[in-house]
Amino acid sequence: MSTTQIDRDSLARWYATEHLNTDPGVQSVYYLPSGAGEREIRFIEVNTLIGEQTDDALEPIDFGIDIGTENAHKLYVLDVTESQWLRMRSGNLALPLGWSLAGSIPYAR
Amino acid sequence: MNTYQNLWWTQSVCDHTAFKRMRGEGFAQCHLLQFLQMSTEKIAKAYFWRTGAPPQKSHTGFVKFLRFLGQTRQADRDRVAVMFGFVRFSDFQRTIRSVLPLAYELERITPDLANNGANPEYPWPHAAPQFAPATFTFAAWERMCSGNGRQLMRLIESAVERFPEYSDI
Repeated sequence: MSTTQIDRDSLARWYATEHLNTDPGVQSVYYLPSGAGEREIRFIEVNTLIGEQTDDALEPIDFGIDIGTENAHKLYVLDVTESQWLRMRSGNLALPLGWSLAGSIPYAR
Repeated sequence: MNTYQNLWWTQSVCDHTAFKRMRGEGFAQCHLLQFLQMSTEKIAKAYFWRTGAPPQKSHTGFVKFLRFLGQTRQADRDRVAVMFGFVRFSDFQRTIRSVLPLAYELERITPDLANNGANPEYPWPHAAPQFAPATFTFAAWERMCSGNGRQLMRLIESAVERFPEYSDI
């Protein structure tokens, strides 16, 4: 099980495009490959339709996808407001443990 | 928290833990929806047991529970907002309003409320089944994976995890 490589970057592009096309609140998606596992896609999604949450409430939601097949992977999504994203980008708001913005790839409308 | 609340809360935590594990392991959508629905039904029942009288014996209650939280009395509003991870109570209320349609959809997905249609437990329609939950793509789960749905999942998680702190509000 899970012996073949997955094209993580292509999958990430597909997910990001889907989310932007189907979710009116999502303004941009940042794909964070740095430090992620080979079968792990990490997203920060800037969403204008969510309420401002406290910093300690920021936690990604994980989705297991195609588990048990050779395409098995996990998608982690952290939803943030625009102001939280600006603070993250300037280093004033911590990312989830082990996450990094280095080499992040933005997708926007 | 009274003893009745504690029993219902304990079961809600158990269902929710199973839901989170299954979501991370990519289980079939029917199982994800079923366990999420069960967890929400039980956290609502835990809350409504606060008077010491049994709540209505049905699968509904979660939407009513969210509405109650959104109408928390003034003196408790700041505390409730923080419990649910919000800076302002108005943001918490806005979030509840935005997730209510999806919460309603989740509440109505149980077999006896699904009107002989898509439900996470039994093939349907009853008289001449054409669909099995195990292989069905649920629109409700697709919506649960959107930004709005993820907000609802976070809200449910807080509701379950922080219950002892607001159980008597």
